[in-house]
Amino acid sequence: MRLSEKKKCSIAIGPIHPALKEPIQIEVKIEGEKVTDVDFALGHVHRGIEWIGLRRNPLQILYLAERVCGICNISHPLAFCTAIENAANIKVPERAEYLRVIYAELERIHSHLLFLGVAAHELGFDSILHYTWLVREKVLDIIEYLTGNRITKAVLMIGGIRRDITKEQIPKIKETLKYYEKIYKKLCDIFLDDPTIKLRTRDIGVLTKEQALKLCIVGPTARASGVKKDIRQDFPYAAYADLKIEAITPATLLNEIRGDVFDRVIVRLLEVKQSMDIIKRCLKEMPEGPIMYEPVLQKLLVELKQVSNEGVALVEAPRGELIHYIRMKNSEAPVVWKIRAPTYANMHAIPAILKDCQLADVPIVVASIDPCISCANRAIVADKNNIVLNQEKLHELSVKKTLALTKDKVKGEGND
Amino acid sequence: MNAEEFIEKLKKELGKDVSNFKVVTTEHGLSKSKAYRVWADADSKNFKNVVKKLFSLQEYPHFSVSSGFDAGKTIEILLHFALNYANPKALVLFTLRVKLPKQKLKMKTITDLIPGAMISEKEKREFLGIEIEGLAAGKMFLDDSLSGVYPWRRDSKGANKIAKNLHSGDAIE
Amino acid sequence: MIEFIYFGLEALIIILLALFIALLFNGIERKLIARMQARIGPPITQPFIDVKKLFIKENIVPDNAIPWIFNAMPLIALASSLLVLLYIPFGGMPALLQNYGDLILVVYIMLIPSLALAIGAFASGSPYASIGAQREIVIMISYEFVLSVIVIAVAWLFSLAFPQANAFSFATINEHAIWSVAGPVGIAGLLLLFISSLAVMPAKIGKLPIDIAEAKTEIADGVLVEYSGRNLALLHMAQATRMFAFASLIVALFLPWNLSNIFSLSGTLALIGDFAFFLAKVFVIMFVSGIFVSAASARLKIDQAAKCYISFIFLLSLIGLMLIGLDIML
Repeated sequence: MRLSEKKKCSIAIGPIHPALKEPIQIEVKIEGEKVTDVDFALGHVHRGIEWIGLRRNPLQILYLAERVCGICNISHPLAFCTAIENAANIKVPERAEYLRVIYAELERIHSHLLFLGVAAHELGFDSILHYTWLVREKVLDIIEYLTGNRITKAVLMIGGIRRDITKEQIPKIKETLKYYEKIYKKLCDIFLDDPTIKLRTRDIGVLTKEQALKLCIVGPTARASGVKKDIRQDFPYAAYADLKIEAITPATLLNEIRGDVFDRVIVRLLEVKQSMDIIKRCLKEMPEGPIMYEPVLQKLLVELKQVSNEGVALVEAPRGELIHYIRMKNSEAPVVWKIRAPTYANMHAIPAILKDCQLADVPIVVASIDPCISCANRAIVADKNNIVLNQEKLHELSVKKTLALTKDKVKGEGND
Repeated sequence: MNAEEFIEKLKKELGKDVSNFKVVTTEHGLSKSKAYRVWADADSKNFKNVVKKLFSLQEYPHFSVSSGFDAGKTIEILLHFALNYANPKALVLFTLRVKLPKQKLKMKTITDLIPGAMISEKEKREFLGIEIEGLAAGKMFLDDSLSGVYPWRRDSKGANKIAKNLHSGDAIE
Repeated sequence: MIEFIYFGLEALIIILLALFIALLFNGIERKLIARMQARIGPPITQPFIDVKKLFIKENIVPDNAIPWIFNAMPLIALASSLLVLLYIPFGGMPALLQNYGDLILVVYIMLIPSLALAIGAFASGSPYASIGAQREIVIMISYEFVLSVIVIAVAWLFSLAFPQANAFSFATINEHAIWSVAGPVGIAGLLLLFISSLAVMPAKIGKLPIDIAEAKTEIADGVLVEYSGRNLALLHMAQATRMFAFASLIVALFLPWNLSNIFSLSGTLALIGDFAFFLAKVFVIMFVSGIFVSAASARLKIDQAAKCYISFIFLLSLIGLMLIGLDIML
């Protein structure tokens, strides 16, 4: 009733809201349907990961770093490893650098497909949500085939990588890439040509190039506004310097940049293709050689304990620039460990892009910066005969599935 | 402009405003491409001038984040900038170190120059108890029940008294 | 007296049967949408399970709600949706209340569930619900034009063809297929009206792309946000019945053919055959404009939806009306 008198009304989106699966609180002041003012607050599930990390040794931190984010569980350990390798002056073998790129790009494909589904869901277009998540299963399967786990892969190690990709595994990766090439056109058709999607995303939530630069926006969100920031292109890490990567903007496809939600979708769609090409190149150009700087972890730990230096690393996570800073001081645990995830930077964009939107646009506009949403797991609660599955049974089933995927590999290997 | 040229310009521009100017390079990939990390120290009164000078090198310097560290008598703030971006292999990761004495934990805000530093500065205020002059009020991470506790501090104001319920089992102290 | 009891009994049977069919169709709809989205989907009996569960659950009334309005509205919504079904002829059967009201009354009664939903939402005191209620009303205003144009067109045709009969009465509508009284130009006009009535359907029943008043990801189920337990069960039934009733209305107006005329059946067989055929027609209508569209589109915004109805679909129905006028003049 109040609203009809054109009085301002305040609506809280989050920390618990069907549109946002993660606890960010966005408070929008509305006049009728129009958003007039936006404020946000973070920290609802501050886990103190950095604080915990300062009480653990680098190898233990690696596991923590993987659990910073359910989706970027290659990017975080990769940034952490690169930072500590920088501090300890460790040279990573070339083959490991290539392997790191492959895993990071597989992660990007899976993250972007997840985003496309979420974006469709925010628009109420659940058929596309289910389609994109269905095709996302393929990349999760290949990740499981290569690493033994779908989500938390635990393949990175300081000074290298823990699992090699063997010659026998390559055909299966290529098969997956072929599958994605096949469905990529269909995905493009859905997102580029569907009239209702266009109606809801074109010229909505515009972030101008100047705003993006001023607010230090990173990743696909910045690129959609025409800022060619891409750490993979700008700053050599892992094997990206060899691969001549070019930052993707909507102009790659459409010859114009508007910086709206549609552009952010396009950039991510194009990056799926880019990632596929990168993986293909890596498989072709990957050199032979060792994959670890120091395979004996005890020795590695001793070496790291003697380090008294600081290191910093930039990594292009699926959502943008990720930075880890670490300082070691002749002790087992580091004295500083600072993580800055991309969403932390991109949150600055939210008041700017929500201004003058309608309330109905809020979910899709917020989702368009792809705030890092914890990963959906694959828990099946009941099977076809309505037998409730408990944790042990689920674990047993998932081990069985992994073994079925990797049946030519030695049983019991890895972290199953 | 490639990274080496940029570092030359950076060094010339900053000149005496910074000390301990240090360039660290690492090599990556088969092509042995170099990644450049530049470290420098600035005075706590003068650091804002240094930040201002970055604007003469690049229209919008990219501020990544600031890290903070309780070093006993001082608190170190490290401002990480990613400069010379959008150029292939030419990004310079510039870290500016500012040491604040514990008695006088005050620094000027840079949000008037770089609005994108807002969350980072609020974080420093809430986690390290640094007074940031000119920064908008309002909490970002911690709620009021934790006022007076600064989790990243290693002195009596740190989080140890509230941390007994956190992970401590096999922790290294 | 006996007549009165007989009448009540008949009404009760129709209501229970309609409720059962409406929920069953709702279950089939959910299953079909799930299949279109490559999901397994819930069992077809899921709506019954939901309603049963909700009746057991606690009925929570928010502190700042106006309880009597808040509690009364779901009941009114359900009652009015069911009442519509007593006016619409099911297949060959004449409607129970056909002598007590006509097409205009039915169009009015069909407004009540939407209004009740909006009033109940306003009374709940939640800002999400208030926004949902505003949206419900805006969308209602924008599609109501189209419905009135359809009613006018139908009545116009019948009043000219059968001057002695009541043109608005369902008895007249049930006896003569509307397509038989119009000439070729009129049929084109009727076709346009039929299409616009199908276009109104998603808005009338609150399905995608016009489920704006509920909009789960925007305002957390909007008008329904504060409802729980018994009230929510009533609203679920009201929504299902509303969909069934509106689809039945479209069938009664535009697809009145019966099997018994074609295969010259008689007696009970005719009754059953006609009824089954009627259900099939209702289901086809629901599938075309409810299920299929909602699986293949994103949610529109309130201004886009209102604009679409007020300008585009209203225009479409007006052209239909004009064609019919042209047909009559010719």
